[in-house]
Amino acid sequence: MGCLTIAQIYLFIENELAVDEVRKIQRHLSTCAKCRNAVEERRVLVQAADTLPQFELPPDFTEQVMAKIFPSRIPLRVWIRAAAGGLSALTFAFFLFYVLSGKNLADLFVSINKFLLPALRTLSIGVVKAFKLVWHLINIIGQFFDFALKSFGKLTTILSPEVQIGIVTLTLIASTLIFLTVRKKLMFGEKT
Amino acid sequence: MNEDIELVQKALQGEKRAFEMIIQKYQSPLVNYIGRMVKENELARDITQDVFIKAYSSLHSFRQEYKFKTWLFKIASNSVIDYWRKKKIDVFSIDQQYNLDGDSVPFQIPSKNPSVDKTVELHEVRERIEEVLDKLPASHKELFVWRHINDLSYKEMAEIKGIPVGTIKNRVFQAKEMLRKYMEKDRWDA
Repeated sequence: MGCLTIAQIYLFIENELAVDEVRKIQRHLSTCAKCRNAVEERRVLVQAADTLPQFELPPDFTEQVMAKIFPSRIPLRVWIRAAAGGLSALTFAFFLFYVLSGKNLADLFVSINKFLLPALRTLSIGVVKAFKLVWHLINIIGQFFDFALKSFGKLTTILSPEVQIGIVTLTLIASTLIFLTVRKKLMFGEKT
Repeated sequence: MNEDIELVQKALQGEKRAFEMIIQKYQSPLVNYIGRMVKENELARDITQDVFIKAYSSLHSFRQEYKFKTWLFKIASNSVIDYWRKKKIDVFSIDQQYNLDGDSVPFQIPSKNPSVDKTVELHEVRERIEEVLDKLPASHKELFVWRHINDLSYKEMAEIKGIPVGTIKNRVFQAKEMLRKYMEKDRWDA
């Protein structure tokens, strides 16, 4: 057997040759220092290549990929099933209450109504008052800015800059006072 | 039945857990391959994620007479090529000829200062490989990574690339000889 080719060397190192071929190469290597060196040199290269460091992955990588592939969207049928389930559970609970307590369900509804109605009334009055308050505030702010703009436009044509600054300052103070006065009126006659 | 094929069938029937197991099995090999090719950890993860998304969306087109592993690596290889094309990085064809080819790979008569010295520590050789790996043509680098980092067989690599096993072997040997040359050159330049 003659000296080894590069292909033979690598196939020999990687155990990719038939047994007969391996024996022939081993016999040749025992007598040929040049090929022996060539094999050893490449064996180190292959060993190093086989043990190169690995890239790291975050521990939740699989979950990240799964979340991309299967976004957590709840289908409509699941919502329908959940609603049906909830309704059934509620019906069953009322039935259980009726059977165990022996009370009339109508009494229960009356009790609930007695509690709920005043609470709802108070809540709705509060909502209406809050709405009125916001409405008045918007009107006042709008009127104020309208007045301020018009006045400022006229003042700039008549008065000197120093007088204008003085008037603007006084207007701001007056506006604050007006706001504080108006706020009392917004209490709708209630005592603070 | 092959474990992968079984998982694919279950995934096709809507079993999410089956595809999750496929991801767990192949995420590390894929990120190692892609990471070596694009040289950026974050980007490698993104491309790996895309590979799994593409694989899932085209799972129905996977033909069971092929190996799932090679099918997945083919998607990964195409994704890497797409990335390079977008970035306008030169994509080397596997068929491109280099000076070194097949058995014509010149036998390097061991010099007095071999590129890979037996006395050099293994970790030093690894460091030197890392330094010169990017100098390889992309197609050779890809085959080298598949062979030595992903531990793919020559047959699997031939299946992915759709070329004869002999050609693949020659390209891998060329890649290693090129590495030796670059390592030797760098050593003398240093």
